[in-house]
Amino acid sequence: MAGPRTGLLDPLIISRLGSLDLIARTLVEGFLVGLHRSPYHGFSVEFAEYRQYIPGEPTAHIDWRVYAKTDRHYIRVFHQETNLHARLLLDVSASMAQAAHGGKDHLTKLEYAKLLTAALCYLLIKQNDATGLVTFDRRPLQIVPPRSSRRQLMHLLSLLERVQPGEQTDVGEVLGTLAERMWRRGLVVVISDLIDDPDRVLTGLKHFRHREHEVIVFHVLDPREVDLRFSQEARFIDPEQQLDPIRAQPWHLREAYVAEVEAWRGRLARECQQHQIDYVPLTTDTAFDRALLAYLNKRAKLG
Amino acid sequence: MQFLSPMYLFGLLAAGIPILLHFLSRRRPVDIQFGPLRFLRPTQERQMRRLSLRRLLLLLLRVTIICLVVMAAARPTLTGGLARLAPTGHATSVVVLVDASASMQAQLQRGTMFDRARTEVAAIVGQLSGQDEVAVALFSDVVRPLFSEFVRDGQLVLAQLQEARPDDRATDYVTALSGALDLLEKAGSPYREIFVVSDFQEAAADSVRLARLHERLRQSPGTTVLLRAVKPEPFVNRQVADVERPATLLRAGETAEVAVQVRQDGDADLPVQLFLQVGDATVGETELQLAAHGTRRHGFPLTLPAAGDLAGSARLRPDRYPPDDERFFVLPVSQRVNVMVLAGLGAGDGERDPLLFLRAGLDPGESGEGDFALEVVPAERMDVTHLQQTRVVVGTDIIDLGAARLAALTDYLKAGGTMLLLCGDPGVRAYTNEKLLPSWTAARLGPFRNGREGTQRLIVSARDHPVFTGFEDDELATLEEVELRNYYPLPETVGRSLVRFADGGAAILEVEVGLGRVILCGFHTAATAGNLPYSPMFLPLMQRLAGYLATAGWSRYGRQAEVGSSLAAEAPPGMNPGAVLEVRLPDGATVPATLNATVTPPRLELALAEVPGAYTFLVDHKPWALCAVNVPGSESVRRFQEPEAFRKQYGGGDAARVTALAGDSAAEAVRQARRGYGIHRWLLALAGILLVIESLVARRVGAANAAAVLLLVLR
Repeated sequence: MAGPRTGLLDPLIISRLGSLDLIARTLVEGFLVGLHRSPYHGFSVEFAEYRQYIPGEPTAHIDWRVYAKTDRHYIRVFHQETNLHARLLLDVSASMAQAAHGGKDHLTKLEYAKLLTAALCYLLIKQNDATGLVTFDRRPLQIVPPRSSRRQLMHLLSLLERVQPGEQTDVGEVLGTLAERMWRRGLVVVISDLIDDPDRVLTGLKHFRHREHEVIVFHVLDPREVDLRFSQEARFIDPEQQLDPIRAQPWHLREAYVAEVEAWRGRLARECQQHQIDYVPLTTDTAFDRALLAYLNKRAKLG
Repeated sequence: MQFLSPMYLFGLLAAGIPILLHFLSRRRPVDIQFGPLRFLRPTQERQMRRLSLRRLLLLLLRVTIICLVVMAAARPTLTGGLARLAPTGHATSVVVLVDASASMQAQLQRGTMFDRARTEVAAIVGQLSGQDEVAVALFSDVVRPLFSEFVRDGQLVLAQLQEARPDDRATDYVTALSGALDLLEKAGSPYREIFVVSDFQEAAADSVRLARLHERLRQSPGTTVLLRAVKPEPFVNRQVADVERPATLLRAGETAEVAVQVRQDGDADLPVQLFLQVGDATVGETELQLAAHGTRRHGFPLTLPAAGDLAGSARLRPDRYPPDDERFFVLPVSQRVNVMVLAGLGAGDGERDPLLFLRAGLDPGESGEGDFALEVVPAERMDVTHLQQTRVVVGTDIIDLGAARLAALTDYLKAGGTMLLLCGDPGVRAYTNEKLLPSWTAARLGPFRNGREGTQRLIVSARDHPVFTGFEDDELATLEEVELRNYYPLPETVGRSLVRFADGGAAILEVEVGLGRVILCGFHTAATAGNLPYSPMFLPLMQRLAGYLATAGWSRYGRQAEVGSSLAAEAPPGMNPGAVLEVRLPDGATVPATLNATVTPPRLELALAEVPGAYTFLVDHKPWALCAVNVPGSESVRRFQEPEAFRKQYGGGDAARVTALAGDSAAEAVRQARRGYGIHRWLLALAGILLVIESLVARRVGAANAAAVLLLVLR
């Protein structure tokens, strides 16, 4: 589902905005305006401010007295003490750092994932959810415990700005390790290309579910990794140096390869669904609203 | 398979183009960092294997297409087993060469080799279609076409062939094939075939003529040669291999030995009965035991009757190859041989006079009864009349003969005359080297040796020469003890050195001058030149030299010829110009002879001797000279070439266009070999199909469609 202002949510355009803070704010606010309704929850705790009603929003929170005085519709906004702990697990392995396209006109998976992570941080913290961040390759690299303060957002965004590609991936192992460490139930957002043994990846994800975490997986791939649309004979090199290079004429392999990748993604989707894990397949040219919408749907279920 | 335009086959080099492109197109790939490599690998292994096979298939298709197109351009015709699949349909001009040489007279269980050749020809002609045209020619060392032009009536050909007979001549395949190519120049079809039906008996082939034949074959791209061997049946052949006549002059009343060589080619000992016949009478008979593959020589003593030519033959009981069972010979029985001595320097100068001993050597005792009737003529007085009446000219230290006399002498020699020239005076070198010898030969007198370096011994270097045959070893040793003081060394590389000096250079040299010959001596017979005149071998040497020259050359005496050659005999001195000139043939018939007055002395000639036997030249119906004509000995060899060897020898660079027709059935072999029309169209059609396949494969492989490019180029 594409948002109404897709142009601003286009990953490439967004990535040119500069600081991650600005990117996150633009991305989220732009997205929210397009939704025509407030995604936030917890309006009943502590009054914070009025804000102008936006057509399309539910009318339940309109302050009619203010309307009577000012002849304008305002909504009463409250601070809420959240009970949601969200942890964003960002894969920074070497395979995430490569853009199969090449050139400056394409985002790498890591760049895309960083933008998405920043947006999610912004979105989560804006509604006072305690948000933490873990970067990993074959092991956890940086772990920021969940907090909900505005400073936490700055901290997370600053950290994301400095993220560098890591080494080999071991998604399954890392997810298992992290699942063991996270004793408090919450929302786990995995942003990765999941290039690892599918069985181990699924085992790791199930481990979170076993700990009764809510899990949403953003499976980020380069479009070329999905469709193999290369027009030149190429030598394909494993960025993580685990496999020997392959020389091939991609157009001969495309059909069989696409089938293999579809089967892989299909299996991940199917097994995630079986374990109530939200699986969101993305490519680096996918507009961010799809990812954000998926998150909001998940968040809505969590109440 | 044969190609009518083989030059196009160089186009096969173009098959290298797709191979070159195949490797050049393998550019260096770009490097791409690619995460999901694990999903690529199994696909890649499977697909690349298939792709490699397809690319290989594509390469093969392209190479094959080019090869097919090039081969089609070279106009291939199928031969062999595959040929029966191809349709026929084009008119062909066919020349059938039938071997009619003497060897084809060999008897088989039924009929002769030539009869069997007729059967093979009938089978070949039976395979020709109505639109083919055919010419049949008999060949031996000449080609005898049965028709003056190509005909389409096979029955007519066979009827004419029934009348044909083999001759007694030798085999010459170069002549035969050249004659067939001549006939094909009148052919109407570009598709031409030469069938050679022969026993393929081994025959000599001159390399120059062979090269010319190869060149002609190369320039006749549409011509194929098909060989059909007539298989001989094995039998033991007995033959009279040779009749040796005495090398010396024969005188009436003397007893001469006629030696006959008899040979057999069987694997076991064999008795043969040999007869010697002179005229109509059998004058000798003997039985000889011949070893396996052995040769025996038997001498018949023969008392010579009155002077004149004596004709005879040596014969065996006929076997399955009769032509070589009788061999004819002529014995010249003379009274005296006219010898003209041209006297030069030193005549009448005492012991310095070479004539003194020369006359003694040639006519000892001057009795008038010797073999030679001498007439001494000063060199400056010689004229043509002298030359017409002499059989041998002996010149000693000749100088200043004069241009006209030298020209007459040269003509005499070139027409078949003989001369013994002795040069031993220090004053003759300039004239001999500058005038005499340059008119006749490349040989020249070397520097004069005057005895200061000592004497020089002689060494007989050609003991097998007729001049020396019959001498005992001690006699030759006596000759080699002769010491010469004054002499000219002669070159050993020109002509044949009969005797040489111990320290090098020929002493007696034989050179051919036109049809005649000259024996050149680097010494003379003066007593001051050395002790040769005092040697016991002086007289025999002189007699032998003069006798050899008297029997050599064109002389009517001892004339032996082979069937197929012309005959000639010296005309009688002072013959009436209006005399009736005839030749009596071996069968008794007479045919006119011709007089060749352009030579000195004039000759009686017969253009062609067609059968073996004794030929008699008649002047005013009276016998004058005899010639013996025999079947060529090469026809008795009975060694037969394998068609493969024949193919390579006579096909040369175009041996592929020469095909042997194997198998018992000539008709079946011909049927197989003659097919092949339209194969170039078949190849083009196949190339077209492969082009379609190529375009399909190219699309699957993702390569450019070379088929379209090829079609564009072809258009």
